[in-house]
Amino acid sequence: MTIGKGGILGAVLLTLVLLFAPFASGLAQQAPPANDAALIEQLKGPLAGRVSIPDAKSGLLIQPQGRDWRQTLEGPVKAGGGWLLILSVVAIALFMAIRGRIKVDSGLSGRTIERFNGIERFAHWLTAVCFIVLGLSGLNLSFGKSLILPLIGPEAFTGLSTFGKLAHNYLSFPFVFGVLLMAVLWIRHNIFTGVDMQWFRQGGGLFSRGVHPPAGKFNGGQKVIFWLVVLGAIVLAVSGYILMFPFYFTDMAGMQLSLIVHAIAGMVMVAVILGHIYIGSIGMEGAFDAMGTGQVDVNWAREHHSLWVKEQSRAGGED
Amino acid sequence: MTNSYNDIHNSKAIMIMGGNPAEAHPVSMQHVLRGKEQNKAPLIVVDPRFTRTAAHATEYVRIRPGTDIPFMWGLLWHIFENGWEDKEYIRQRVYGMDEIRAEVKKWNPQEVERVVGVPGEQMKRVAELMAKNRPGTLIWCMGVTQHSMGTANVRALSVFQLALGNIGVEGGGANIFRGHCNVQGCTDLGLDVTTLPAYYGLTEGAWRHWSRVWDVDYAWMQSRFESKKMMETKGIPSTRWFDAVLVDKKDLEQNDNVKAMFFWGHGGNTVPRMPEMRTGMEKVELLVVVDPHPTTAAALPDRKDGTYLLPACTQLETRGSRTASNRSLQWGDQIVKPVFESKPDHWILYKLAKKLGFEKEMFKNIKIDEGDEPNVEDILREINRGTISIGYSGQSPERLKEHMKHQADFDIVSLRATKGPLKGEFYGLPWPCWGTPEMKHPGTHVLYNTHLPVKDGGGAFRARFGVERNGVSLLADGSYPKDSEIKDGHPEFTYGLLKKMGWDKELTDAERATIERIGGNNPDGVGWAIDLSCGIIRVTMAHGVQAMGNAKARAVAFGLPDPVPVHREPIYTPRRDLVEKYPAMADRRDYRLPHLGKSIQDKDFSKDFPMILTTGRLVEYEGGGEETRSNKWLAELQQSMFVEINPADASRLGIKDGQDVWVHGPENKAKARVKALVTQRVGQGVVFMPFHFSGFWQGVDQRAKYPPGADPIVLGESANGVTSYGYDPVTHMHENKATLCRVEAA
Amino acid sequence: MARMKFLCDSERCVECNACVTACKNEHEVPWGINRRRVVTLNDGQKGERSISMACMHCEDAPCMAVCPVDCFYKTDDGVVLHSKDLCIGCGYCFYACPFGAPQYPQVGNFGSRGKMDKCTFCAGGPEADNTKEEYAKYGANRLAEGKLPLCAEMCSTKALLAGDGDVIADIYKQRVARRGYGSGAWGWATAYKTGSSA
Repeated sequence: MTIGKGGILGAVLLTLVLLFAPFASGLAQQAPPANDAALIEQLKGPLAGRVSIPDAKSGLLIQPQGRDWRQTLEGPVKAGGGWLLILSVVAIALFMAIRGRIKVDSGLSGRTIERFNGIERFAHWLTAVCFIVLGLSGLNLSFGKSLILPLIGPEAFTGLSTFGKLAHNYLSFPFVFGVLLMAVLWIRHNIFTGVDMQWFRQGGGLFSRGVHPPAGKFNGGQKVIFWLVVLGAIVLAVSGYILMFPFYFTDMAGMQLSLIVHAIAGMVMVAVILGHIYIGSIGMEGAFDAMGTGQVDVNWAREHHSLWVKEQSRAGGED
Repeated sequence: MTNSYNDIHNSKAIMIMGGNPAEAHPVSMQHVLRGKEQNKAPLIVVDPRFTRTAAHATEYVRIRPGTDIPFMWGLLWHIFENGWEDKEYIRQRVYGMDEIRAEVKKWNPQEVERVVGVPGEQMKRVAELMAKNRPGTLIWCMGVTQHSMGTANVRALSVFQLALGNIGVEGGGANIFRGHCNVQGCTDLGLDVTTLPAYYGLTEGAWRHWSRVWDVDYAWMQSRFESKKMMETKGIPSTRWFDAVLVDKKDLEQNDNVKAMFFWGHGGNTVPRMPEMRTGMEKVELLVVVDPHPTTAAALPDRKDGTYLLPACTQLETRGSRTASNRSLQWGDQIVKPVFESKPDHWILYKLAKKLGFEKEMFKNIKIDEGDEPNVEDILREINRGTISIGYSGQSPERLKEHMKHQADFDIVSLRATKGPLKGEFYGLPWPCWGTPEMKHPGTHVLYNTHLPVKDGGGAFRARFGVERNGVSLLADGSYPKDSEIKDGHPEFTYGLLKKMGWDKELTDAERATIERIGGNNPDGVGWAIDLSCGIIRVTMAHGVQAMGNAKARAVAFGLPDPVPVHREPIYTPRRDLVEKYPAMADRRDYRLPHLGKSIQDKDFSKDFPMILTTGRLVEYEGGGEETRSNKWLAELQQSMFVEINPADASRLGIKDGQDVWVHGPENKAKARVKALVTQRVGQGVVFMPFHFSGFWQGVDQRAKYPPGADPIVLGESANGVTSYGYDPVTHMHENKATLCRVEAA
Repeated sequence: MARMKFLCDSERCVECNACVTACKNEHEVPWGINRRRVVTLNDGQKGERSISMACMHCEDAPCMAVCPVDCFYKTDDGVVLHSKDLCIGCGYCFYACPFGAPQYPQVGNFGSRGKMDKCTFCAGGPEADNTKEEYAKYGANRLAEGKLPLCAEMCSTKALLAGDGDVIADIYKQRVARRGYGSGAWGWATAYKTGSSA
């Protein structure tokens, strides 16, 4: 994708910045400490002024909100994100312990049906591989200095983090491409319908054996994942590219906001994807094949995507 | 400066007019701000522009460019009206204040507001601040002097200080901050085309004095000139040299047009009318640039042959004495060897004299050191020998070196050594340092200070203009330096007057012999200033008397145009309504050239060129800027030439901050393409341009014209590419603080 | 042990940029990297103030807290320094810094930053004092030579003070007392918990 000042991305960025503007100005309007406050009052203006050097951001003299940003990042964002990830893993473990691996109730038929073609699987795995690296390198920036640095020492950790930063920057492009491709391929299958309501009412059959609410190519849960991934990726991409081109699109408050948004969105995405990985691999019998070979067992398909199977049959897609 | 930077610590009020020391003299601001803080002194800044200095003012006064005299008279109006003047001081020490009074009467608050733009209430406040907080210093710079009525401006400011009795006292003074290393020294040593060194003038007497100092035959000296008349005729100032190239020969008071031009440490872009200067540069047969950098002169004209660049080294690469703004001399050592093939100025001069065949006479008493470098100690000794009139005679190299060695012994406010071997002397022996070095005069910190004995740095006004005029005495009345045996005014001393006083017996035989040798058949006529023995000075000083007399200061400068300074509208003015009442001076001739005023002012340029253009300095750059724009650290801080424009004007003209604009000047289709800096520093209708840039000409980059590797990092249009005609009648100082222009979005 | 601080007296600062050029020259700081800068507030209007600003060497330095690779350290004098060997150029410290101190050379593609550079209080970096290596990365180490930062030494109006926090606070307090007014020590309340009592 191309990035241009006047491009769609710019518009999206602007929208995003405007959307979050209340938060940004919230940061900026934190009451400065008493001593400076009197001065600012006296000057009746922002603490930004004129500099002769051609570096507009150097005109910002004092931004006490930097300290607030640091408190937000090092406090609620990291703590909240950390707990979110820990709780996600715990929740998955509990689910696994209680529900066990979800089997195909009617047993494997031995006959398969093509669920995802080559392009679809390429899109998925491109996104997936990128996301894993992006996620890990991102988490490293948040938690690495507490978890990895003490283990491997500062020099090795800097090497790792430098590599992580490069990987994070470069892999963002295939990641965004992958998500866009999936969006194009699957968006028509991911429109919520009445069927999905029934699926949600029955908890997707996840929590009780033998219950298989009807679903199309994607069930309600998968649609949620789809939209979370697409929207999450947009948020990550927009905030990420703002960060990658510092002060090109926005000012200090915008940069600070972008990093907070990026960190929160990233950690939420990691939590969501952890669940997705579980259910798509060891959590459910037959599920991995969908993205593995692209061929799924017909019985598995009938149980989880009954309407889709019917549709495929009508289209003569069943072999 | 009548006082010093340090002496501002003693000021109870500080007024800075037409100067922006925060940018032009940042170190001086240490003293200004200390004075302001320690004495809770009001700091009044008078300028068309809200400068970085104005930011520190307790009172900022915005005047229209070119209205300095009405402003000054407007202040004096309140002072006279309220009887705030120092009546006793005026009675004793000032001549002609009544004539000033008569002129000041015309400048009532309404007229001042109409002409200057300052409301009466602020005028009164400022007048009262200055009157009630004495002593007060009045500081000015090029904003006052670089005008077509610069000399009159300066005199008006001086008169103001005289009226308040602020001259000759610590914390007071008329203090003009000088701009470059040793520029005060250059002025003192005859850079001015109207005089030989030390303001002796160009008369036969002056030539004979200097011929004696230089130890050359007066007849030989005269033979170097076309005629005695030309020898005694003022030269052509650097502001107008190109006129002497370009005007019709019959309009010149010399036998031909100027054929060759030496740019010796002169940027070229610092004086107005560059389009004509450029033509002049192209027309001369020989163009020589002596400078550390090629300068505008080397890059501006289109000429292939007959141009020579002589690389001169900087002050840090050579050694010798330098005179500071406050008349103190400092001895500088060589910090680094001259870089590349550059040479000190005196080396170049020696070589030039040699080529021209008069080096024997010129360097007669100056040893030529190894490498053909004239000895700088000997040069200073020669200066000491001749510059008696202003007391440059006592600062021998040996004494100056001692001062450098014992810097720590000097008090930072009084400038006096409080301990050590130099105890009692003022730092750098500020001139006048009367008599020979052996007389150990301590130098003069504050000029005309009657509170000290002459031998201790005191003094009085010089009796330079006779003893009376139209029956009125010009001599001081009951005022005299401390311990003076003559308790009243007196004329300048001659050998004859010394005899009359009966003090001639105190001369040594050698001194008397010298005086008699100088006097020939009229030894009584030998004045103190040409007495090479300095005997007259020594003897009078012993009686507490100042050899240069004790007179009144002239508030009325008879002999000069406008003896009482009067307002004259700038010749390029947008105020057509004022032209009739306050016309420019009629066209005249001076400095061998026609000098126009009224004939230009009569034409109305204000329709096509509605904005007032004023120029000035930036802290990052100096003078023509070639050297400083070649310094990477300074260049980074100011990367492009700009014009300051008020937000209201900018929005009316559709100009945004940072955008390119054309500034058009009223003469010769002059124009410059620069960036707009939209700021409230300038008032509505006024734009400001810094003058340090060159290397762009009417929108075209001239970088390729510089010798390879010699181009400055930052180039830009020259402000003086669009400035216009206008010269002070006395000095031919150029006008580049008040002209007209038109600004258009590019 | 002295606790080093900077103090800019805006009543004195005239935006002459002597501090900036002194810094640039002393440490050979390239174009585009501005360890110190002078910002003018309310330019051209009543109340205009210029303030020279660089790293304030905060008590609880936000840059140190947010650095993902922990490349900062604090000397016994309270000077906040960092290791360019460890810095990954992520830019977090710039967002956290209340004073805009961290600077980055533009390297490679996008807005990609090189190793962070900032004011060292003329105290160099982790390398051995006054070695070529130290100079190349961080500039001169004047503190190790017993000298104070050159920016303050070169200040034309003595607006910028550098040195023991107690000493410079005293100088400033005396000035304020003499003047009868003071506009405060810029950034002190933000940089140092103790703030300025002036």
